[in-house]
Amino acid sequence: MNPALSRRDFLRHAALLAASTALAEDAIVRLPFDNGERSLVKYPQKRPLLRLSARPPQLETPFAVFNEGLTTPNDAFFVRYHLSGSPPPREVLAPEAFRVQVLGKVKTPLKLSVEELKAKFEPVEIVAVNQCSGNSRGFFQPRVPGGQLANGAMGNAKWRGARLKDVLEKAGLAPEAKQVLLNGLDAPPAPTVPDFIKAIDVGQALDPDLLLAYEMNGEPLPWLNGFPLRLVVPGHYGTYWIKHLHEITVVDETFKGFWMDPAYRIPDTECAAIEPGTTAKHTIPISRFNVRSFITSLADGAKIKGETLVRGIAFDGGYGIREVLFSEDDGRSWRAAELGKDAGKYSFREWTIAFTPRRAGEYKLRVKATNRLGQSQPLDPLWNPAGYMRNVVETVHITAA
Amino acid sequence: MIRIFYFHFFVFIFIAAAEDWTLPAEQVVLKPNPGADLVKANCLMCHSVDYITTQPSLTRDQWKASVTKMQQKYGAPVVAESVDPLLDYLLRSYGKPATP
Repeated sequence: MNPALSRRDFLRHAALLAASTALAEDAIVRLPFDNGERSLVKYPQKRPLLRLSARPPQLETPFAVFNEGLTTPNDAFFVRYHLSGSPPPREVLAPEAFRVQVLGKVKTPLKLSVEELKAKFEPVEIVAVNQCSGNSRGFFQPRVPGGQLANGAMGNAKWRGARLKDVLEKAGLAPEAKQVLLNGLDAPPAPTVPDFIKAIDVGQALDPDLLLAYEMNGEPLPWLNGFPLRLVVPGHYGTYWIKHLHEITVVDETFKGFWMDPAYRIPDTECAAIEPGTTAKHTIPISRFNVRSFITSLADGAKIKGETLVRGIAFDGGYGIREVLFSEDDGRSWRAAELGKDAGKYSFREWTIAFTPRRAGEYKLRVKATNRLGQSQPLDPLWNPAGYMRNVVETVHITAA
Repeated sequence: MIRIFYFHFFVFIFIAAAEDWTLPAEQVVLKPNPGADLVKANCLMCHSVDYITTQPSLTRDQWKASVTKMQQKYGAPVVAESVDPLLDYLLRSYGKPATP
């Protein structure tokens, strides 16, 4: 066989394949808010996801995925980066190159490969939701600038890794230690752009539930979700879950970097809410999730006939879901749904309830969860200027035959 | 130890080679109104065009707040005399029509 010809054939097939892939990528989804058209785009290790932005990559999970199971598959898990040039290239993430360092106010600085983290520290598994601070921002009224997400910037996974606490204790915290700074390998495109560094108080850093995770749902982390190592801060917004984590720096002061102040802050008010269109007097760093719940088995506009098992998910900031209430009459009356298996206080909690429409026509189905602290969800949406922490009682409009 | 290292190294190379770690191209382009060159010169080193095009219809004040944030917090190289032409472009191309 003529090698040149076979090469040409190969290129032709490759071109055809690329063209068919491009066609597949052209699928457009219309999110239910103004200017909500998104392309479904295929990224490495991912199924086609809703692309919010190309550089840095921001990909949203199509909502139907949340009805596939209690954990979100790695190939469907949402992606959110802040800095152009993300994710970092493969070379710096390879096992022979990648090290995570513990620096600053510690007795013994550490420099560890992922293999060493696995070998020297007890492995721990936690099922936990990760959710973007701005998940659902596109539904804010009045609209606010920022990433215009529907409800798909969240996901639930089983994370496996070493406790941050164990690693910090191995290094030995100095008595003056106040905060722990977390930095990943994604670097800013220019020196004027602030590096994406987050800070947590030492007290929180010693919570045994915080993990330096190297596995997600039994696999190495996907490239776009932080390979080979990310911080997992169960119950807290994704902004703290630093990807490609390579520097853990203990400091003796409160960090004032851009991404802690003024970015990622919420009004220091009840439920982080203020009057729509106004600005907050005092702000604090965003931290724990509020309570949310969703119907996953019926999408807006669905048609049903006869008795239907309605299914969904609920979660909160790590206290655990106590109760999920379901309404088939737009919130006039409520019934308790049955809670599914408890995979831990940081996980999605499945709920189900049988719904038999007593007449044909339209129904407004609503779902409202309460956690073990008694915190619940507002019937009307709350507002803040950054579009964070939306947790209104959701409504799904359906028609019964 | 060295053997273990090489084993992991080759396993990694094998897995990495089996996967294509290339990001898909940026697809969205700017509307060709006057001032598009200013957006190219001042905004696109930090983010793709869809950061702009996916925003809701913002008012001139809201666009101005975004441009000021990019200038002051992220060090976007927007010189003072470019701010108004940039806002003109953003408002005309992606902004909220002035209410009569």
